[in-house]
Amino acid sequence: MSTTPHIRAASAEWAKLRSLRAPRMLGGTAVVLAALSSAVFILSFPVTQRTALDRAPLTDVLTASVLGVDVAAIVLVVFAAWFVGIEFRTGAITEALLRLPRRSAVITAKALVIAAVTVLTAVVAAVALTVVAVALAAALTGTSWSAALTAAVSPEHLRLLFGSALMPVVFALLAAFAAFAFGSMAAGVLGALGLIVASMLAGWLPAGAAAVVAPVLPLAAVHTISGAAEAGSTEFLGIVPAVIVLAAWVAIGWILAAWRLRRRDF
Amino acid sequence: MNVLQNDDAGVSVRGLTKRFGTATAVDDLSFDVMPGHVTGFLGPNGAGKSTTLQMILGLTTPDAGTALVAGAPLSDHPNLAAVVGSLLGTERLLPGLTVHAHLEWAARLSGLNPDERTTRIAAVLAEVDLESAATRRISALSLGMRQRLGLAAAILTDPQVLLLDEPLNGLDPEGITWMRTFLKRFAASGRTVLFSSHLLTEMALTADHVVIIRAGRLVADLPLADLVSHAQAGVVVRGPDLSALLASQAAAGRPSTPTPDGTGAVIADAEPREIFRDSVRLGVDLDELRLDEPGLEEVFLRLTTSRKAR
Repeated sequence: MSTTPHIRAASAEWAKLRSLRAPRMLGGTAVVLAALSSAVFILSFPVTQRTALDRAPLTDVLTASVLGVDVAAIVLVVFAAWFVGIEFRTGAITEALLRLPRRSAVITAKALVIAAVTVLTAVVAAVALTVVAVALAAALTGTSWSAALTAAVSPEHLRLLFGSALMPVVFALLAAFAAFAFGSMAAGVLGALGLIVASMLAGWLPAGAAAVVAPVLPLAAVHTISGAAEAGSTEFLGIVPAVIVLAAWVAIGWILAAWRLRRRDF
Repeated sequence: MNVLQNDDAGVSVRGLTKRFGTATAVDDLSFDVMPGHVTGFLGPNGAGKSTTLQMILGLTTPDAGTALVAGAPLSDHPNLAAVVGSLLGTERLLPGLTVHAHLEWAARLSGLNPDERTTRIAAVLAEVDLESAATRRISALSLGMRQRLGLAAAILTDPQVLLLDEPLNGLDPEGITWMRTFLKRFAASGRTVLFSSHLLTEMALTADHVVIIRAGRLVADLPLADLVSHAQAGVVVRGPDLSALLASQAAAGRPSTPTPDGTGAVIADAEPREIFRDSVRLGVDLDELRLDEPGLEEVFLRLTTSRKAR
């Protein structure tokens, strides 16, 4: 027998993930929906931004396409919540608990696998939607392919794109922790989506309240890291504080999940 | 009751208690499960068998008492899978996994290295006769095949103790015979087996020691042969009119009770020849006269059914 419980558990969960069909379907769905929705966001630009595409700045059009990552995030939240929730729905979680000396090892293992899958899927989704965005932007804004591609690979756009890819990773982890804490897929989905909605609604609070609430929510940290939050806005934190906020949310989520799982009777 | 834990026991339970709200599911339960024997765990529905097994396995926290497996709480063993294997229900399997993937997952979780995994998975698949179904998804398996898969996972690491909750459910006669043979062989190798079942005829064929609980409390804990012989109550008589005979026997200090089917009577502490002589003397016709030798089912019902209910 070899290795620590956490490594054994992560290895086992990885093997489990590879055998199940649903994760592949959900991952593929995330990539496809990211690409499709980026196209929708570009095509709806004249309606949402009240500017015709042929008169719109290329960078604004490409920026709109990045919202496709948010769509991928929702699908990956569902994946993460399902990957945990199904263990409780079937009772299969007990099979893992019977083989590990500490219950928290299951949580860490699932989190590592979910993080790896969501990072990979988010990157693929980001690349896919960029291909779509470059093609549409070049075709609809009267810009050349090379100019559109140059804009798409500029440091600013890449920061926005891959910084936004943090959203599916962080919220998928939070969905997993919520599913562990409350023993259901629904809790995972509602918990993560609730945080996303709360982050959006925080900006509608009175200025004083928004300045206090918005920066501590995970979406503000993601927007800061990606550059979507401009300096001086209520969401802007600074890179290091933003990383700390995200790490804190992940840590708090893990602690809550471990505390609840430890106390649960099966 | 021996309040000291038995270090030689495969499983040792002392004062185990669990309440769910105001209901007490397990009430000050104590017993030992010794290696080298197949121990049956019996009780009516809701007696607390599953809750007890879950507490032994550390899945449910007791409100009081202790449960030791191989001399220590299960959580104290660094390698749980080498100590205990369990089968708690076929529903605790992910339906989307293949048979092989489930065992691969269990083997990795248990810490087997790649060579060990390959060897043990092949061995347990052969043991439970699921080799041909290795690539089939669990959702496509019959109930009996899922039971065998669950058992395969339980014995993957060749544990010292085997805890099984209703392992015979869903098995066909051939499967039941196979399971019976397997459990006896497992115990005969010096290891510990505790299994619960509602199939009392199979329990009688498989177990050589029984622990019976009712409403969470211990009712009996002894070898199966002793249980049946101690339960012998007297002589069973049947006939068109037994009143004179029963009155005579009662006057002689041998009371009677109706048989469960109500067509005769069991006369306590009696010998068949005495009853025969008495019936001849009184002119009482008898259709049946035999020693009361209850089977396990009869004993179980007597022990677990209240007098009021009877």
